[in-house]
Amino acid sequence: MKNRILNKRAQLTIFIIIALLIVAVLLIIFLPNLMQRFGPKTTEQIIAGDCLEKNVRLALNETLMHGGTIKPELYFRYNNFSIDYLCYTAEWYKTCVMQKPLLKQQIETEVKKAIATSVGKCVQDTIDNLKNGGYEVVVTGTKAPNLEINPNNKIKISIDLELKLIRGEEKIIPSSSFTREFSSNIYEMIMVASSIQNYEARYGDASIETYMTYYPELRVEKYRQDDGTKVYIVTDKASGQKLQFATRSLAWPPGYAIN
Amino acid sequence: MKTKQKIDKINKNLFIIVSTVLLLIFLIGIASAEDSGASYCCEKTLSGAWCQNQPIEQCDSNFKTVPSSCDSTSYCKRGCCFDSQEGLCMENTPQRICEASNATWADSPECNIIQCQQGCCILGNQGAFVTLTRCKQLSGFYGLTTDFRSGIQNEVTCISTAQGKDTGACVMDNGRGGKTCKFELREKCTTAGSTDNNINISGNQTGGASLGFYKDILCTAPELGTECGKTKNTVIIEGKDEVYYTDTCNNRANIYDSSRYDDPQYWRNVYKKSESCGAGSSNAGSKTCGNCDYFLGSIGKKYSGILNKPEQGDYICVSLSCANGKKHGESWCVSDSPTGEGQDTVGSRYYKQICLNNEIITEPCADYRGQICIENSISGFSEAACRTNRWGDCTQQKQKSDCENINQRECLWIENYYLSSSGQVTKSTNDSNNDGNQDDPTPDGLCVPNYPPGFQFWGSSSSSAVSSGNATTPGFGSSTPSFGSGYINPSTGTTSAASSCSIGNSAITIKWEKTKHPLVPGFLEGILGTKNEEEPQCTQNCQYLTEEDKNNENISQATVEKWAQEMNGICYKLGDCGGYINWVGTYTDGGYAAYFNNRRLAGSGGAQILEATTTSNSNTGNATTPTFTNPTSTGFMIKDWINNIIK
Repeated sequence: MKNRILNKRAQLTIFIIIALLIVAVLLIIFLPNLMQRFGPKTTEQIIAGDCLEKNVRLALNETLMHGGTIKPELYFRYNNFSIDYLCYTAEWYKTCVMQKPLLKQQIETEVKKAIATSVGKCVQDTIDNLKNGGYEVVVTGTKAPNLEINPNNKIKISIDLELKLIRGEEKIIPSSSFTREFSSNIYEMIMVASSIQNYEARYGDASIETYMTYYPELRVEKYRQDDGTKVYIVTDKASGQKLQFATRSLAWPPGYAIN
Repeated sequence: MKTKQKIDKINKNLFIIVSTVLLLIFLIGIASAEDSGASYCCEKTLSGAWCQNQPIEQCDSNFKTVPSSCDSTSYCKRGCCFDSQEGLCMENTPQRICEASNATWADSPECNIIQCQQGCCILGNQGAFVTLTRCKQLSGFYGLTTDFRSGIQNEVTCISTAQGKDTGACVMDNGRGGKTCKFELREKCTTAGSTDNNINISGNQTGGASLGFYKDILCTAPELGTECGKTKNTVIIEGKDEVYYTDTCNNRANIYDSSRYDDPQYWRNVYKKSESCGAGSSNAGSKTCGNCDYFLGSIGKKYSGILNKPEQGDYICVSLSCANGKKHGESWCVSDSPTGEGQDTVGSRYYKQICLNNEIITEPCADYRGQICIENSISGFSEAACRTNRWGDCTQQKQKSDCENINQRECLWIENYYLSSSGQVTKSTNDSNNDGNQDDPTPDGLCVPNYPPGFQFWGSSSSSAVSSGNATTPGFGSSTPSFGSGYINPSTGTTSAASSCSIGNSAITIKWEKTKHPLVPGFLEGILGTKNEEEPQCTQNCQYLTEEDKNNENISQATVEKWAQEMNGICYKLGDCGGYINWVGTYTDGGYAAYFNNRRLAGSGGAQILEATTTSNSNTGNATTPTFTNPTSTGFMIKDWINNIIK
C-alpha cells in the first residue's frame, strides 16, 4: 500500500518535472517573439516601425486615393475625393495631353514630402526620450526618409541616420537598422495606371478587361463622368489597396454640336 | 549697269512681296486665333492643366501664352517622354512637363524612338514585352541576367518563348551517398560535377544516371535513381493555371490526372498541357483532371466544398464563370431603359458588364447616351463594347438609305413627317411621294436618332472638372468637327436642351378659303358677277384635319390633342425633349404645354393656338377678305409647341 502511494508520488513528481521542462522549452522558443510583440520596443523598432512604416502606409494610401498627388491642382471630384488628372485635355474630340508622365516617381516624391515633417518629429521625439533616459545621443545623417517602390512587390523605406548612444558604454545604431521593407502590389498597380495613361493618350480610351485578364489579382474599374472625364480605380484584391486617377480624353459633348 | 539696276529692282520687289506675304500670314494667324477664341496655347491654365489650347482668359498669366496651337510651340509640343530609370515611354507628353520630371523628351508623340522599341524580356520562365532599359531593371530586381530578345515583336510569342524554356530533372548529390532531384529550368541546374547538362537516358537504364540536367524528364523517373517518388498529393504553382502532382521531394510532376496515376510513363516524362487530360476544355469541377485553363474559364484552387471532391489531393479546377451563367471573359450590355427605336428614357444610360474571375464588373458607357453598348455573340460567347452614339447628323439626312446606313450613323427613319426647308417638322400630305428622288426637295420621312441623346436640361454640369472649386470651361479648337443641325453652347461647352429640342419646332398654318365662283364662267363673268359665297374649304395643311373637322369647318380639341401627341412622339426621339418617362418610369409632361381655346390641355401636351391666319382666295387669284372672325374656330397655328418650356 505504502509502495503504491510512493509510486504515485514519484509519478506525479515526474509529470511535474516534464511539464516544467515543456514550459521551459516553449518559453525558449517563443520568448523572443513575445518580447518583440509585448515587450518594450527598441529604438530601431520605434524609428523603423512607428516613425517610418506607419507614416508611409498612411501617406501612401492618401496619395493613391488622390491619383498620385495628395492635394492636386487639377482634379475631378469623385466620392468626396479630389482625384488628379494624369492625362487631360479641356477640348472635345481630342486625345489627352500627359500631365503626370512619371507616375511612380511622382508618388514616391509625394509620399516623401507628406511624411517628412511627421517622420522628422517622430525621430526627434525618440531621440529626446533617449536623452531623457540618460543617454548621450550623437546624431549623424539626415532625418529625411527615402522611399522606393520596387518591382518585386516590395516597398522599401529607410532613413539615412546613424545614432551613437552613450551611457557608460557606447552603442552605435547604424543607418541600416532604420530600414523597413513591406510587401505591396503598388508597383504593379502603378504600371497598370501608366499603361492606361498611354492608351488614353494615343487612342482616347483603355480596355479594363485586358488588364484584369492579365493581372487577375487586380480589379480595374472605369467610371465615365458626364463631362467626359473617366475615373479609373485599380484595386489590389488581396489587400484592398486602391489607386484612383482621372483622365479626360476624346470627350464628346452632350447634345447637338455646332455646325 | 542697267542689268544691275534691274536685278536690284527685282530683288527689292521680291523682298517687298515676301515681307508682305509673311506679314499677312502672321496677321491672319493672329486674327484667326482671336476669332476662334480658343487657339491660344496656355503653358498652364488657371485650372492647373498643362499645355492646353484654350481661350486666353483661361491661361495662367504667370506662364507662357502664345496665339497658336500647342503643337506649334516649342515648350508644349507633344512628344515622347522616356523614363530612363524605369524604362517606360509615355506618349503625348509636352516637352515642358517631361523635362520638369527629369526625363528625356523626344519629338515623337507615339514614341517611335529606339529607346522605346519593345522586345521580349525573359525573366526565368516568364516573359515581359518591354523596352531594353526596363528589361535590365526587372532582371536586376529578380537577380537574373538580362535576356532581351529584340527579334520577338509581340507579347504572345514572348510569353510562349519564355514558357518554352527547357525544364527537366536536375539530379544532385543528396550528401548521404545517394541522389536527389529538383525539377527546374536548365539554367538553374548547376549541379556540381555535372559537365553535360543534357543527358539522354535509355529506357532500360534503372538508377544509373549521372548527376546533371535531364530535359523533359521528371524527378520520379526510375532511370534517374533519385530518392524522389510519386505521391497522390497535388499542388498549384504561381503563374500557372493547372493542378500538378508532386513527388516526395516536393517537386511538381505532371498535371493531375487520377486515371494515369498508375501509368509509369506519366511519372517519367513531362507531358505538355495539350497532351494532358481534358485538353481544350476548362475541366472546371472535375474530380479526376487538373488541366485547368484560365482563358477557358477555370483555375486551380484549394478544394473547399462538399460535392466533387477530387479523387486525389486537395486542389481542383474551379470555374471562373459568374453566378448569372456568363462565362469568364464574357461581356454583355445592360440598360436601365428600353433601348433603340427612339424609346430610350430620360436619364437612362448604357452599361457594359464583364464577367471575370467569378466577378461581374460594371462599366458605364458615356453619360447622356453619348455612347451606346453594342453586343455580339460568337458560338454562345458574348462580347460587348461601349461605342459612340453617332446620332449627331441624323436630322440632316433626307434619304431613308442614308438615314439607316448603320456604317455611318445610328438613326431612325420616321415615315409621313419631314423637316421642311425652314427647319420645321411637317406632316407629309397623302399625295406626297417622292420615292427618294433626290431632285424632289421634299423628303419622304424624317430622320431622328435611333438612341436619343440626353441633354443637361437642368442647367450646367454638376460635376465638371474643377480647380479650387471653380468649374473650368472646356474649350474649342478651331478644328472641332461639326455635326448635326443643332448647336452646342461654345461658352459652356454644353448644349442647351431647349435649343436642341427646338429642332422639332413646328409652325403649321391651316388655311380655310371661301371661294367665289362666277355665275357664268368666261367673258360674261364680269357682267353677271359671282355666285354667293360657297362653303369654306381647307386649302393648306389639311392633312392635319380629320374628315369630321373638314365637314364641321372647325378644329376639334381631339384633333389638337392627336396632333400634339404625334409631335411629342417625334419630339422625344430627338433627345430629352417634350413629355416622356424617365429612367425610373415616371412620366412628366412639363416639357411642353398644349392649349386649346387658351386652356391648357390636361396631360396630353401639344400645341398652343396662337392666332388665326385665315385668308380667302378666289380661284382667279384675286385675294378676298377673310370672312371668319373667330380665330379659334376657324384656323390655328401650332408654333414653338415644345420650346422654351423645357424644364
